[in-house]
Amino acid sequence: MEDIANVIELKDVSKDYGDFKLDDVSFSVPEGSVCGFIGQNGAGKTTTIQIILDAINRDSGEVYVFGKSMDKDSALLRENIGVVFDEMGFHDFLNARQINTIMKNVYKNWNQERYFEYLKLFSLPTKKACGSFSRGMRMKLQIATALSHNAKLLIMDEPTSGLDPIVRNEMLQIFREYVVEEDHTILLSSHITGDLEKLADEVVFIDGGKIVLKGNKDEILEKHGILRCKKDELKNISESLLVSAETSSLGAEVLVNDRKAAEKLYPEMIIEPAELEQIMIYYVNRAKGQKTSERQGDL
Amino acid sequence: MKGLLIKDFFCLKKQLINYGFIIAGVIVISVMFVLSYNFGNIHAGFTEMVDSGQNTGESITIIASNAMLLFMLIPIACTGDITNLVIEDEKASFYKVASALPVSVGRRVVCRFMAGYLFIVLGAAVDLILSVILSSLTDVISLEKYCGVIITFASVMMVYISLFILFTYILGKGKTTYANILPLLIGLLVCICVSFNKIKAFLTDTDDNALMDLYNRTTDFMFHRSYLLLTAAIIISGGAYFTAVCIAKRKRGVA
Repeated sequence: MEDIANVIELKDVSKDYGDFKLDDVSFSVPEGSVCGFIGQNGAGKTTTIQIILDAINRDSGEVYVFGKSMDKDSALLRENIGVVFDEMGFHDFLNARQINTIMKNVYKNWNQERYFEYLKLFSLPTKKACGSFSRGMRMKLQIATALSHNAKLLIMDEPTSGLDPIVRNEMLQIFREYVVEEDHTILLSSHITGDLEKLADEVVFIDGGKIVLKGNKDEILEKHGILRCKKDELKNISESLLVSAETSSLGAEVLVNDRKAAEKLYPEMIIEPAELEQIMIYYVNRAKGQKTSERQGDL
Repeated sequence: MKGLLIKDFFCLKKQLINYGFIIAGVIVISVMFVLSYNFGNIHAGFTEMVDSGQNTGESITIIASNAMLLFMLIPIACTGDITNLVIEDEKASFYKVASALPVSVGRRVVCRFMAGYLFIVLGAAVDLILSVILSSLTDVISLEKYCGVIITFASVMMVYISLFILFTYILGKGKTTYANILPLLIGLLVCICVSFNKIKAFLTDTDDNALMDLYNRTTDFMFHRSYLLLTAAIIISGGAYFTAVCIAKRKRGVA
């Protein structure tokens, strides 16, 4: 089997802010893959990304990007990383042309032609101040900038949040085209799991500063399932299978971490494939200590 | 690094255009003042004051040179104001973008200092042009003395900018106003300490000429020993830079 190198590797990374702690975070992103970094707001996604970029200091642990430690040549390594933030970060009075002038003097591999091609593709004006852009246009401008210096790794922090479905779909298409090239990798942080279900190969799920779940997306989806049963049947579900459950007046809904095993054990119960969003919600509930929670309304 | 300097220029472009008008106005007014001092109404007024014994020729020269020093101060003070640079970067959350660029923290700090110094050089260049014009029109202050004044003002601005940048790193985001005020307070405190005896003598009425003496010493220092201030400014700037780099590396996430 071909040995796939990891483009990003985090080993036991910790960062303590006092009221929030990133706790022994370890995961890796293989080359050529799209890794969905999911978690609710405030789970530690942005902090982790900032640590990967060496934008903030970590208390402990190691970070490797392209196989090299970020402690040594982080500035040099960032030459091959394109970054898209949830907010634009460029000054409102700058226009796309001026951003080109800045970036071509920052990146060694800046490709001016490609940048203007992207602007054209995204229908972005070149002489209009970006402060007057809509959220979608701002995001596209960031993507055009991130993709115009031959970056091999694209790190995006909530790039699709707050965008309408049409623009979101356009973005996902761009990301798909980007990863067509074998050595291109994406780390995409989002709490919109629907986008990741369409795009991601790998999934890393963080909650409360801890990695809750990680692995191949298809395997995770294949493994987990939503089991529906009566309330009184809940106690019969094996503890090792049960992630967490939600109950209502109509019955109980349980996330099980081994669908096939659950199907064998409980053939009389309905077990459906789980979506990433459901997996996320049930794991968050478990992390909150709510192995069983009451839901208002129907299931 | 060049790219970040270009970004800084874009940030201050509007301000520089606005100040351009002010500086042009200062040049025009200063030339008009000098012409009037030599041949016009100011000349006539001063002559009358000297003739009637209201003022001596020496004090008239002091008044004129004061006005000219003020003209010199405006361009360098205008161009050296980089407060907006920090405010604009904070407003746009540019520190996020900066942290993703292939530019090290140290270089980002160098860039900020360089931007400040470049604008001082720009102001000093305008001052030099102004001093060539003024010294060729009147003999109140020679070009050599003007150069001393430019070096003094540039040194003061250099210290101010260095401390301002240092305080922006120490205090962190959203504290630009404090970072701006603190160097001014430090400067004021130093001035008071240096001239404490003279100020005390003036306030306690023990020396009637204390203020005039202080003025003469200050101008004499500017005209002849400004290199001392420049040396001090270079040392302070160096210290501020290294401290700023240490703080920025520790804190990260700086523009």
